[in-house]
Amino acid sequence: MAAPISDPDTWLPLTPAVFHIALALADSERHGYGIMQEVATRTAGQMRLGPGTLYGTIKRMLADGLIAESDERPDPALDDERRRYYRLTDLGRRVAAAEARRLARLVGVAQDKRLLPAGDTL
Amino acid sequence: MSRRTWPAALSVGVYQHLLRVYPTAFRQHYGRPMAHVFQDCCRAAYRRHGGWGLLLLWNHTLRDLVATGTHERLNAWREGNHFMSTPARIHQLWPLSVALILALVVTYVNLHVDETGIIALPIILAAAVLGFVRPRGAILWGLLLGAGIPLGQAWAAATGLQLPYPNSWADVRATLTVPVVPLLAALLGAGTRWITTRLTADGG
Repeated sequence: MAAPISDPDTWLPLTPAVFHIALALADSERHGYGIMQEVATRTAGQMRLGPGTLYGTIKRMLADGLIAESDERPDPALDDERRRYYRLTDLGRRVAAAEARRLARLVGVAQDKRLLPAGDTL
Repeated sequence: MSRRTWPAALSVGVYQHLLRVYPTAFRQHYGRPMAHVFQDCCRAAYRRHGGWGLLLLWNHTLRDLVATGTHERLNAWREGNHFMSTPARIHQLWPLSVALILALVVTYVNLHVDETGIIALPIILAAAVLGFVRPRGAILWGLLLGAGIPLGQAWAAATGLQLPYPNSWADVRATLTVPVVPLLAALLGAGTRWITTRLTADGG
């Protein structure tokens, strides 16, 4: 595996699947189904990751060093030990933040062109 | 499995079989978690919306399966090409080399009816050996070796090489059906390998 590229801007733009997975992992470690649920809930069902999209993207994000498999396990009584948990790496966090800034700038452009009312982010 | 949840359990079983669309390496690493996730999705969909929920889930999942299965296959193919330069990959090319060499032999040997058996025998033997050594590629090697005969003759005709065979429609039909023989030989080799492996395993 090649060494990860440390400049976050070189990764941009992220695909929707990569950005949504990064967002899902930004506040806590999650397993595959947890990521899927978080994305579906946050987008009100508009973005639904199938198992193939989910694990294909996870494979590439692992290879790129954006996420890592977590060594820590939650309470075994509360969880199925067969599940694999994933966490965002420092690089993944910086890349996700850079993508968020890029999208925010785009929203700013849309507001300047009156495609979106100022202050409206929805 | 209770009577109330069998559609979800059946869906998971079918999905596990459909995971074969993914390359082996991907399936070995992610097949189980993918089936696990799909199982969770099935349970949730069935609990909320019953059979209709499962149908909607399948509609989404099948599209995902086709799109990502194709993507992963293409990726695996590209990575395979990338590793073509390694000795291990070159080693896997030798059956193809045998097929090409035999096709050239068929092209440039002046075939006579009484010599056909002399050419056919090494082709059939090579197909059987390749089927035995590489059972997973038996059909491919059988077809490659078999295709060498009509391709060789077509090449010879295109380059103006005079061959005494084929010289009638019956000969042409025979030429086109000949590729089946190496294919059968390759499958025979693969079958022999399978039986040998089973006998060895049972004996051990």
